[in-house]
Amino acid sequence: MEKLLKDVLTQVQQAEIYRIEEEALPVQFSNDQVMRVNAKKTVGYSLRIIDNDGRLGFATSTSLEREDLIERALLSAKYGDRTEICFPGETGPEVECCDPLVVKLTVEDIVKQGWEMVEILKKLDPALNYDLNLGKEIQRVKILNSSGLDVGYDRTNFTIGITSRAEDGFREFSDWDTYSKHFSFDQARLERFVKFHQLSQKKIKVKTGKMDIIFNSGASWPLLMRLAVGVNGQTINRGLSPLNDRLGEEIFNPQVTIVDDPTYPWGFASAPYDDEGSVSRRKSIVEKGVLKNYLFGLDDAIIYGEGAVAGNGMKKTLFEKGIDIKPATYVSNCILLPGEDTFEQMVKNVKRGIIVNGIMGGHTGNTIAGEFGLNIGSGFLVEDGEIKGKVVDAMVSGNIYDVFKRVTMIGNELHATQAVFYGYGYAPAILVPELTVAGSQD
Amino acid sequence: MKERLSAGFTNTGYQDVRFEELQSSLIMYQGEQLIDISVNKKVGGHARGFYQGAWGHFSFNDLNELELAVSKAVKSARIASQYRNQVYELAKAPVVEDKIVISPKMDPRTISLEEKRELLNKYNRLALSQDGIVTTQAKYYEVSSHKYFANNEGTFIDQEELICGINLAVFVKGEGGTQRVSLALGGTHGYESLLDKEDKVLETVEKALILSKAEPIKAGNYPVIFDPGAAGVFIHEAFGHLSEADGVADSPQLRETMKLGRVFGKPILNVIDDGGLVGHPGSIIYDDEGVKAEKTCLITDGILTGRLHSRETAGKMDEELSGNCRAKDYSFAPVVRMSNIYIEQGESTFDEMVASIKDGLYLVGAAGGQTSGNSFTLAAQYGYRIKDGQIKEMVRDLVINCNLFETLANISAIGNDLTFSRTGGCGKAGQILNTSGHGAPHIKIDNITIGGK
Repeated sequence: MEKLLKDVLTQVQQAEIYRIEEEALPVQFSNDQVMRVNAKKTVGYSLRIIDNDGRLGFATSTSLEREDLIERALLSAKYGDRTEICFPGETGPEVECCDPLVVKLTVEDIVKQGWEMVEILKKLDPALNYDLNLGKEIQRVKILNSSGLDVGYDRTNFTIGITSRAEDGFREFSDWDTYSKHFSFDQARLERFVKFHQLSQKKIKVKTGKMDIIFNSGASWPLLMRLAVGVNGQTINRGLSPLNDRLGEEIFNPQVTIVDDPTYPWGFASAPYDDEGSVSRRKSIVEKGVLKNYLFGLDDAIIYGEGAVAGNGMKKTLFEKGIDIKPATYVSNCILLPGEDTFEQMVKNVKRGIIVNGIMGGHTGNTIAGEFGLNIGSGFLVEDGEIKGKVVDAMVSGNIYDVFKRVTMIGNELHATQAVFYGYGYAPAILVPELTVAGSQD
Repeated sequence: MKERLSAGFTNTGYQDVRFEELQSSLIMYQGEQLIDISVNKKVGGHARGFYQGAWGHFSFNDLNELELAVSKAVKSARIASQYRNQVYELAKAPVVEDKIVISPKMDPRTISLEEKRELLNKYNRLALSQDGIVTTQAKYYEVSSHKYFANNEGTFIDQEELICGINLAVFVKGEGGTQRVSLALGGTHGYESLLDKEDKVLETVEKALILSKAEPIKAGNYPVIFDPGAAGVFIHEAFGHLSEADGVADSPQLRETMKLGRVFGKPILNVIDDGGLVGHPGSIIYDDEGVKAEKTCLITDGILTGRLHSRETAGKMDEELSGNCRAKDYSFAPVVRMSNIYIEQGESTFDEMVASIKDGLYLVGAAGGQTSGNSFTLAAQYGYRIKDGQIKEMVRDLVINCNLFETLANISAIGNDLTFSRTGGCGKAGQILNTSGHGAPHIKIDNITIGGK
């Protein structure tokens, strides 16, 4: 890599080399059988250059064939736009994101951990049908650039996901979590899983109308994602965001604080640097209801100008991550900070409403405007503080700029929330009164 | 190459290796800003081992690690097999040796990056120059691959795959905030399909400008007409995913729910998946298990008649192979996926459908969809109110939410104007596949729940 940097710098003004080695080891169970072990060990290189005309070029490869990589980066720069960016040279403190225990886990270890869950589930409900996934990932990253940055870090991830199946075979209830350190689902968590699965056996249709909604952790990412789209430097620079020119304004209820925190200890997206070598920093997006910061990668920070701090240049989108994704502004761990209410208190406060545990279509519709129309994939009807059964064929719609103003209770327990494929952040359950529910009962 | 790929095989169970050289070109504008123009290369392989009902997989980059990858995959399969009580055989597939070379009329691989950028920017500038357009997002993509596949049964396939296309989204602002309408071109191996599309760009701009003034609708149940774009995504989400046998094979309950012969719709409904169609996003010759892509009749005269298979699921369910097991690239395990799914042409005209609706909606274009077993959701790009048999004003923020069995049964008219999408895109098992096509004529569905104010 050092040789590549030296070679390329004879031809251009600035250069950056990013290398990532990835190992993954997910194990799939279905009921009490192991279905597959799906391992990988791959490597990728990305080269970004700023040529002598000040144009940005980008090329990636899976091997260090230096000439070919440089040639493609130069070609990319030749047709590329001019940029003012300067690759960062600052180094930052370590972040807790690599668990040696996860590094060491073997196929046998993961199968054994899964099997222990299988044994507990068998005792709790012998008739339960489910899919269970446990997996680990290791990323070894190295970033070198012409500003003198020469850093590397290792990051691990451990993930557990479980989904039960209904009588007709379709998905019933899910639980999912991810951290960069090892963890397990204990007896209490599995008991809760089985309880909600059993509560799901009673199916209820609801009428169209206004209802109180509890968004559980798993259903909170569409709300966080719409805010993150609104504060994304790219949306701001293009003048498309409802949050343009509103820094310092109270946009949400003062109970609401939402941060982007790549330094969050053991967060799945925690790392000392973003994917273009900027030092990781915790940023308040909304602090006690007040809009505090937009998020930027290097490119968007330069375009925005004064006041923009880079640190969110990620090789990741909602749908893809990988070496061939060019860094752009994206969240790290997007976190809605917990409040003081327990889940039970929240449920007790609902006269007639729905606990939304899982949603579909979180990425669809007019996300920039904050609009959502979410299919309630897994939701439970609550009447007078009692859970009555599973709501079927219903959707909840609204706008996050209204939801976070009117939220009345915020839970005290954080769990990961998964967007489409990957973790998006951490959130507690929240209670929002009077949202529009479209139901299928006549 | 056959000898090289086969070097790691033993006789323990079933084993295969896929090795790919991938090259992708991407050009992207956001408004006037060019945010990406690059040619990326990836090389790598994926080894699989199957032993007594369990699978082991291993993805790698370097061909020198092939033997190690195969042995790791087989070892994982052997460990997993100790935690199984159910053993099954893979469906028998013909042993083939074949070489597939793609030769489009205008081969994008021979056209310079500059020429591609010029074409993209021509459309982008045209859209940007229209009054009322706030910004745009324009993307040219091209993925070409050279894939080698070998298994320990003697099959060896050397095949090229190629797809190129342009996606253009235009943004406008109105009372409901920012709105977008998008256009897809290409979605096939020939560059010629991208040329001379100025009229399509202007049409997209015009729709967006009207949408900026549109009102949202009231949540509730409506009779609707889907245009071919929305109907194609509808059949992909509402039914297609459930016809993928990997979701069905391991659940006795779902096997019952999805039993061949079950009535799914009125006799006018016919649904087909066909990877063998030429020039669509999901067109392929062999899948990633070396099985030839077949035409599969999924629903015939309203009755469930087929499903999509891998060798694993066809073996488990004792059904015919269909050639639908594919992976995004070497870093993923292949899973069962649709190729080009479509609703077969019917006999109704669009005008007849509109005339039959007193108070309903006409939904145009898809802005994303998702399924979770028996229910699905789909957002339309925009729509129109239908009143007393006539198309009225445009409406916005249309998201539908349905039970798939009820909705399929409620399809009451199928148009005579089958149209295929120019773009695909389907997410499953952590993999977004661009090479997934869909098609449909206009269809009418009697009662659908739509979210709104």
